[in-house]
Amino acid sequence: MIQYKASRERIAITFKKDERLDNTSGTFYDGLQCNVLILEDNSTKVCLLDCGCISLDYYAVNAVKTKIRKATGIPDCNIILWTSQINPSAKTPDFKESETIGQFIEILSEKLAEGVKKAYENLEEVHLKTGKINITDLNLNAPYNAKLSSEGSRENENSTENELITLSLWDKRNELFALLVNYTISPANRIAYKGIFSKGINDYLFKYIKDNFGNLPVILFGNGPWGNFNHPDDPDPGQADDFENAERTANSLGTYIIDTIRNSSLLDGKIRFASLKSKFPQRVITQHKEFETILQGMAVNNFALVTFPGAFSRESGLEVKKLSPYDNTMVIGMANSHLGYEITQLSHDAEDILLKQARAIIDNLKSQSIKVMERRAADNKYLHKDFHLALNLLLTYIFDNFGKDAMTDYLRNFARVYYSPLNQGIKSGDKEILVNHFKNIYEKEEWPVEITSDNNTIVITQQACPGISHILKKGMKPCPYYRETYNTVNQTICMNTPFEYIMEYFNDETGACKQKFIRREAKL
Amino acid sequence: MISCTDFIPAYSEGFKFLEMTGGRKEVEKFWSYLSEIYLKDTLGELVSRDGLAGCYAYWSHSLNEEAADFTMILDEIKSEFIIDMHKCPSKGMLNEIKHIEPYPSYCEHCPALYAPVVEKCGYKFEYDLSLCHKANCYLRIKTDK
Repeated sequence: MIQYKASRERIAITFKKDERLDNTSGTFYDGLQCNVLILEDNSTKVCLLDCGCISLDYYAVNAVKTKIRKATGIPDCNIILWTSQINPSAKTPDFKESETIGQFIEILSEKLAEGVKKAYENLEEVHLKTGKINITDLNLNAPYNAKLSSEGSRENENSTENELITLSLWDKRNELFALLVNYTISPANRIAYKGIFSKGINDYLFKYIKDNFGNLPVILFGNGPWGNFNHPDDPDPGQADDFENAERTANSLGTYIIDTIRNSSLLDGKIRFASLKSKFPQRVITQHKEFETILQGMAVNNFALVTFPGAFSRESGLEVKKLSPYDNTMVIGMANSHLGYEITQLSHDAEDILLKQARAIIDNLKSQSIKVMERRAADNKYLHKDFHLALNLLLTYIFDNFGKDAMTDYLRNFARVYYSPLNQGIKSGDKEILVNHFKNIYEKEEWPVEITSDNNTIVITQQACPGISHILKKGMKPCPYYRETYNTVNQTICMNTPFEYIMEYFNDETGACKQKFIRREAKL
Repeated sequence: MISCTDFIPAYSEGFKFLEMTGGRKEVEKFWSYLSEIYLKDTLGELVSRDGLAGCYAYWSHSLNEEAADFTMILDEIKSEFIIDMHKCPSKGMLNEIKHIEPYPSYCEHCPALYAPVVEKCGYKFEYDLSLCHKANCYLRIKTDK
């Protein structure tokens, strides 16, 4: 099974000047965090950041990624940053030209890069599990669905997203190390009159999980595709908006999360990653403006996650899950940018563009996870030099266990049986049969050799043996008396024929040698 | 020199020699030795590092060099690696050489060599040699969850 390593960190990102002093939110107004998870197999590193603020635009996200890359070497395209909390504490860096926002991004990037670097220095072995549950009796999104339905929105009951998916990481002691939860909670359930309800849900949720698994695990919450944004000034009737409701909601959801974690299955597979830069046109076409962003995807075994670069519809999320061959496919919204956060921001075909891009991500991941190779014998040349290694080990085994005589007996037996047609052939005295045999061998081996002959003699000279050369190249040692693969074999080939085999010299270290086949009658 | 293209008959005759010398036990002992000495550092290293993708890398190299006729599938989503060998070059060669009798259990060296290596890395090794006389076999390596 593949060995994964991971590290985790909670990075405080609340700005002092942004902290509210009225404390109307009680203990839950305890500052914002970015929960970080770094995961790697031996070749791919990924960094996931669940940033507890309302949203970050593409420029801010890029600034963060650049800083993290410089601090850790993790490539920008393997860093996913999403936002998951509605909270007035962290300002939305919409106005990148503004000096204040510029400072905000600078400070945020520094804090995150520093935290990720610290985490990166403490990687430890983990194993991964994923679980999924369909929640049908906890209709958190009912008020939102009802509202959309009454407005004639294209979202309807069929597009209700009930799937809750977890990716859990466990340390060597089998303790929960980190957790990524993916569930779609619509803004109607996340925004309350004081604008901090979602943080309440998250805080209660994390508390619930920690009550079960201890205080150490870092928990990331990836909200699914939100659908259309529901403005806080326009709450749904009956919308939950207080901390009691937040706690009730979180606890209900928490039981499902615990069940999902407990019924998770082990993951084994390389970390597959895909990212795709894309552009979304603005709705006001006269401005000819396009928003740059990036979609990303990650897959391990039957788990995958695909990011949506903002607040896109749950229908698109469901479509992506339908497209995905991975059983547990998370769709995480508000990742890498906040497109669609303003409802009139994007052109009407934004969802179609999104689906096209998401399909490309899924296809890319799938092409990494599933590989098929079909070959016919004629497609390749037959030359597997590693067979020299296996033969050398066979000779070594016989030599070590039964001695030199047994080794030469084996070679003699083999040559007598296998080269019997050659032996029969040269009994006629036709030396060309021998010449052709050796030319053929060296051609197949693609090895330089000098073969000369006259009426009575064939001389084969080589500067090195292809077998010994390959054995040495692979860091192995040729068997003692490897020369017998020449001497014994060729003597056996010549047995009861008009030819005699003479090995003039043989260098045991390189296999450089000179061999002669002499007509016996000429020798006399 | 025994050319690497003549290795297969040399291998088959080697198994016969070992069986004649020490019985079937000796052949199996040699297979274990080969598995431990040779495959641990090649296949074993790839699989312990890359899992089933390591199997794909290992056999991509060797089966192409051996000019085998096969379909190989790495499916990390299902956690399985499959080789459907339509025509094994080794067994095919032995079948074609009319003047030598292949070692009767020749094909058994494959599971004997590979299974211990992948099982040590946490995988299940399944195989079907029922058609191996036709140089056709099937192997599947799965994550042992």
